[in-house]
Amino acid sequence: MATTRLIVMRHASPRHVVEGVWGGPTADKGITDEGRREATLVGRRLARAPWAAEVTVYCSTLARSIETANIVAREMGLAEPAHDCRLCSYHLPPHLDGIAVEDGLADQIPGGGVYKPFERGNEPWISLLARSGEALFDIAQANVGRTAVVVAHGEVVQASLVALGELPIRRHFANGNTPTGITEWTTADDLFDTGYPEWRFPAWTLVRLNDAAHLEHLEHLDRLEPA
Amino acid sequence: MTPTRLVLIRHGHPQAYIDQVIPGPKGCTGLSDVGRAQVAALADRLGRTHELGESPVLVSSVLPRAIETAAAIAAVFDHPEWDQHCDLCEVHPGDELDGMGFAEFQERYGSDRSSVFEPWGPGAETWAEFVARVGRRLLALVHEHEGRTIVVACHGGIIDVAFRVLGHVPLGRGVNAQSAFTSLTEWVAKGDEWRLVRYNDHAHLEGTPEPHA
Repeated sequence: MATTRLIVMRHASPRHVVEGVWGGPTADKGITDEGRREATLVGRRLARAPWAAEVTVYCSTLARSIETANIVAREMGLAEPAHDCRLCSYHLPPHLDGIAVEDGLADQIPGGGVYKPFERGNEPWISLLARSGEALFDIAQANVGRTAVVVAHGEVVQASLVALGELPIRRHFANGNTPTGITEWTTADDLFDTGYPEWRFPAWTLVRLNDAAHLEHLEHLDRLEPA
Repeated sequence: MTPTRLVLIRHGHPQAYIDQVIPGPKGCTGLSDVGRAQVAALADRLGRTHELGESPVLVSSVLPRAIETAAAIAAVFDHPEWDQHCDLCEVHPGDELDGMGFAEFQERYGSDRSSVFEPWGPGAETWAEFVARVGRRLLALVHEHEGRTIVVACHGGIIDVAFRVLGHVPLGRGVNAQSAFTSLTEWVAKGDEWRLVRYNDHAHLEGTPEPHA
């Protein structure tokens, strides 16, 4: 089978982080000037890859993802990205969209976590995982033997470790989530040969995680900041 | 407290892969021409980016392909010497298999064993034994050099083991990974937790001859 490749990345540096708020559909104001530079650099880097001519770009429906993906697609000479809400970060309810980060963290539900939301009305991790994992498999199956570039959010990169890497739902280690850091997965397996009676599933290979070599201008410690 | 950084760098492409022999202490004859070009590209990158800081702790295994790779890294930082540990070697093949041709091995002993507790050939180390000895050495290095950047010129297996030791990935079945020659994988301690900052960053191999992995 020909290789199917998924490039999954976090969006470029967003404005809502500078403003110190959680960025749902209302508070997300897109990316910063530095973010536009990051998106341009990663787009130019991906354009040099041997598989770059035949690529489909996907993004979430949040402004920071759309803006980053538009720049990546433009730099790669590709069609406009396809939008998929399943690739969003946490689907924040209106009362959390735009809330100051410290206020949101101070108002967490005792006992919240993987299966229950951390905040009242928010989406739990397991739901985000289920819908973004489904989106990744749909995208892979729509691009068999080709490459798809998914410009999304740090949570979707983490979801790929579970959905494609079969790591535990709650991992015991954190991962770097640099803006526009490249995480790459490949498989040569048949993506449709699953289930009864053999219960086979495709094996994916993690080719790289959070490769941000195109951002050499960043100080190293910037790479350590979480999403 | 400055966080401890553990940067694992796989060796360059080895001559033994061209010669198709099992590269233990006898079979390993250092890097191929491709491997030397990869190591040069790595050194050029490290000298340009300073991404490993100004004075990292450098260690390697005792196998020639790792020593040659470490020498190139040492030159960037002006380290004439570094510690070499057999604990950082790839899975020990044992005397009988070391240097044996891949084809002869396949003919005599067949394909993979499925259990992590069985050797993959007579006299060889098991995966479980390998994880134990590498994990012990990695953690000893971390304790000894707390707060420093520790650079380990090593092997693909060591990078796989770090997922188990630092990431608590299950012993027998983890993420399916394929580290490229001279790639950088970086773990950073954050309190009691480890963060995988990057896996298999081999951007410096862009435009260099294959094979990259």
